[in-house]
Amino acid sequence: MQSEQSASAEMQISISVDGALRKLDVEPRMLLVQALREKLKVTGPHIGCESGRCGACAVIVDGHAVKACMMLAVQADGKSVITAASLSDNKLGKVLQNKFHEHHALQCGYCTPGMLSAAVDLLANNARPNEEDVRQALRGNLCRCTGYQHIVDAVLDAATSLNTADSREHGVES
Amino acid sequence: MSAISESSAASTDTGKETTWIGRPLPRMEDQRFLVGKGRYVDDIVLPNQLFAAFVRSPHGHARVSKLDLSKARSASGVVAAYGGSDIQGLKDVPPNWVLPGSHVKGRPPLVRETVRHVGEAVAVIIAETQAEAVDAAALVDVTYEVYPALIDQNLALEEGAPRVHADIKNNTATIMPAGAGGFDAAAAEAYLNIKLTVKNQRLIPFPIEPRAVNADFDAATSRLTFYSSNQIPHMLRRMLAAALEFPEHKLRVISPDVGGGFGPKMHFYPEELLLAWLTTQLARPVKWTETRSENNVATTHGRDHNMVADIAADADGKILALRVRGVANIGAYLSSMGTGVPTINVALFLLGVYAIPVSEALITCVYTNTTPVDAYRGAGRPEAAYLIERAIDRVALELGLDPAEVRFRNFIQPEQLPYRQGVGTKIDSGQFANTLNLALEKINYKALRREQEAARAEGRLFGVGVSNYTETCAMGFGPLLGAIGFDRGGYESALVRVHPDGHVSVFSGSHSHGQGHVTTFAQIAADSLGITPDEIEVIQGDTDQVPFGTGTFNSRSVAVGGSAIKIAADRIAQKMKKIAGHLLQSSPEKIFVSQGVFGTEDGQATIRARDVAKAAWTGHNIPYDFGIGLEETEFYHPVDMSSPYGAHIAVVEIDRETGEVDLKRYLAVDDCGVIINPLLARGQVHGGLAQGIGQALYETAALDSDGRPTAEPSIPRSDMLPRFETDHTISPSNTNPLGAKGIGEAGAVGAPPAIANAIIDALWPLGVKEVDMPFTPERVLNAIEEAVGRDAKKVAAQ
Ligand code: FES
Ligand code: FES
Repeated sequence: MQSEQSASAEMQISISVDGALRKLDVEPRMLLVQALREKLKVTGPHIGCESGRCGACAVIVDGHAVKACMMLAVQADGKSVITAASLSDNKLGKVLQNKFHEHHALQCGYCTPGMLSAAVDLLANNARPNEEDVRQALRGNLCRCTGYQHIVDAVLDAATSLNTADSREHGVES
Repeated sequence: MSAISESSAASTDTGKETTWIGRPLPRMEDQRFLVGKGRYVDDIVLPNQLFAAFVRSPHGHARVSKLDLSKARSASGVVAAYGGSDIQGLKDVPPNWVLPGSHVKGRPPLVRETVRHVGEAVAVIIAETQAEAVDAAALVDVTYEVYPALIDQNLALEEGAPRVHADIKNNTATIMPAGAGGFDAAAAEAYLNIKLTVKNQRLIPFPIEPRAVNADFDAATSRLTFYSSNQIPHMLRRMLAAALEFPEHKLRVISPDVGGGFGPKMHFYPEELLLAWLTTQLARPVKWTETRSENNVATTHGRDHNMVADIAADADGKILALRVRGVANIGAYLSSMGTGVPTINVALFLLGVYAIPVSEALITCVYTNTTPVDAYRGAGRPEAAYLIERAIDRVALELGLDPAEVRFRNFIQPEQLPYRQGVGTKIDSGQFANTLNLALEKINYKALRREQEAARAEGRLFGVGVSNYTETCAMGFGPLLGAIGFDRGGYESALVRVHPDGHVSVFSGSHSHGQGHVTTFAQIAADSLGITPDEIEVIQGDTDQVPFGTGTFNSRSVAVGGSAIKIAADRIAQKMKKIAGHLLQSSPEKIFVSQGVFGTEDGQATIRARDVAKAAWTGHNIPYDFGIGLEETEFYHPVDMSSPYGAHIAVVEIDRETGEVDLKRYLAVDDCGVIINPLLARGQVHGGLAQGIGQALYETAALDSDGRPTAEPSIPRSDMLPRFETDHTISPSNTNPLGAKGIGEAGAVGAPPAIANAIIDALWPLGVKEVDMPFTPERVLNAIEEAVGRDAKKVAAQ
């Protein structure tokens, strides 16, 4: 194969993963999700399709949910990647995890890390989504187990509880 | 919970108060998944790991005229490469359920010469890394002599059709009759005779985690550790040991977290046999994780059953006789549940929850050049429910009667229960009219019918559909399974161990792939032992730890697996009372346990559970004949199966111009007997509904003329499903000590007919009598156009 030479020529990159700076050598063709899982043993992002359809691999790159199978590892060089493992370091992530638990928003758990990433992205950009907004925001993340309703409820409830906490902090009645 | 429940969720049929059973406890197993620390097979990388990649046929029917592995073998990192001729000693993967008299063709581990379906593996490459294995697979040189493929089961049955297997006539694997016959005589007397044709299309099950296997043979101990994303670890061990001729006691199957199963992950696959064999040859662990495109063609499909029914009814809509002819596509080979699902699991349930005096069925299983078809959520019961529920509606519409009313007229009456159906099954319990009444009330059926009238007056297409599905769950009874050729036990195992510190381990032969056994099973054991669920750990999925079990399918885990736990835990509780009685100088019958403390009736003397446990494990201060330990194993073997059922109602509006179906409301009232955890039960209902609605509105494998799926399966996304409304009635089952029935498959069984009936109800005034799933805009529009065109022709001819 022609690509053999270039494929084996590894490049060194550094990525901040869950708050820790990680240096690694990757082939240019290696996907971010493979680098996380295979090179760094960060197995929260799952592979469900490797073609951008299922969202099981979604992580947060520089603040935005990204499907880690649609990004090359080298493209993440110098960036910050947050996976489910460190979501609870921030309030939004922690509240979402709690609400997913309370609402039984996960069954097999395979879609869950990606779902949480998409939900974090949504609530970071829209603090008061309605049900339709949530369903639209999650449409890139397939779940075959839950039928989505408990997930949608968890996200809506997380938004409500974050808003209530916020208004309490700022002394606003809502 | 609804008012008409026969008992509240907080007590079992024994009438005993329960503390934990019936509570909507959030799951105890959630935490690891929420932080991305679930452990699925692909997360496991062993020391010295090798990786496998497959070369698969792009053709549905071909002869491999040349297979050259030399380039692949010399590629970087490649350890070995095998084609069909290199694995002569390996047998085909046999099915595990073979209806007596079936013509059996198992799945070859690799194509030996003839390719019989798209995705069949032609070669396997083993390399040091995943990428090297995949790269080398691309270097394999295969020449195919391509032949026309046989895709449609009805065409495969036709006179002169080519044979999928040279030695199997008419491509027929088996023909199963059911019922006592007598249809023609009954039909001759009937007021109404109808012929109805229905199809359950082929579906791709699509768990989000594809299959994954890691096989690890240790030459020093001659032990084989086999990781697989699997629903039935002990059965897999048995099947694998037999096919590999490997001693079962040296084979350990571990199924860690499973990323969704839905049926396909209980089947024994060619890749599994091959990897187990490869690790014994190479003495290094070999791992393979299926890609999504492999999953679409190499993992079993579901349904694909065409049926024609003759229905005879009287003028009041009472069905007098039913005759069904089914033709099921089983694909190129028999997968694990082989000929059982399309025959037994369909024919026995064809009469639903209705008392129909005369019935007969004949089901033919047909080989084709397609991916094998096997159990997928519902496994035969969706096909049966779809047929009978469509039939009931058709009778109603033809007679101008209300479809709900026709159901009331046909229901099995409470005093007839338990009721043996003419086609074979026994319905154990139910309050069918009550459940339907509750559903009609909740959705305000009368108002909906008025709304429909108003909509019709405006020319809008508005429909309401009801389905009263039933299914049989909680598979049990070995002798019966033996008689129908199902090579499995009908029991489940449990081992309950109270540790000296009072904490409890529960080992179960069931295996969760998302259902939440860790929580529900702990709730069951907690009630028996008088402790809290968080003092209990539930362990499953490892054949070295768990007593020989059967596994998770057929919505049987709570009813059978949970009952095993209850029985074992109850026995331990008895022993603990005996010890506590001795230590408190009271008789065991007078000892009560609550919140981890044993006490006498008068509350005067108490002892902590942990002190009782310690006495049991040390043997201090207790009579010698009490024996040592607090550990019980139960193989619970139910004699009968349970019959969950429900009343589902769908409301649709159809766009006359585009054919688009708007599913406006969906209500599911299910009766799964006693509910252990209502929150988790609702999760199961929702998940089943999503798959049932997916089948009705969106999903199809849509094979092309080679047997290749033409599009990615249209799995419902979050914006493609309505908000579900759910409720329950509770008719405890008397087939097991929990009174539970099973809920995992209900939604997938109930939803397709409810939606189909709603759509036909909407289109009936236009003259549409039949449409097939999935009800895509295109199909619905075609059905409308055809009916309207037919009418126009009639008018023109007059
Ligand atoms: S694995 Fe990345 S979207 Fe499916
Ligand atoms: S919980 Fe299983 S795929 Fe979402």
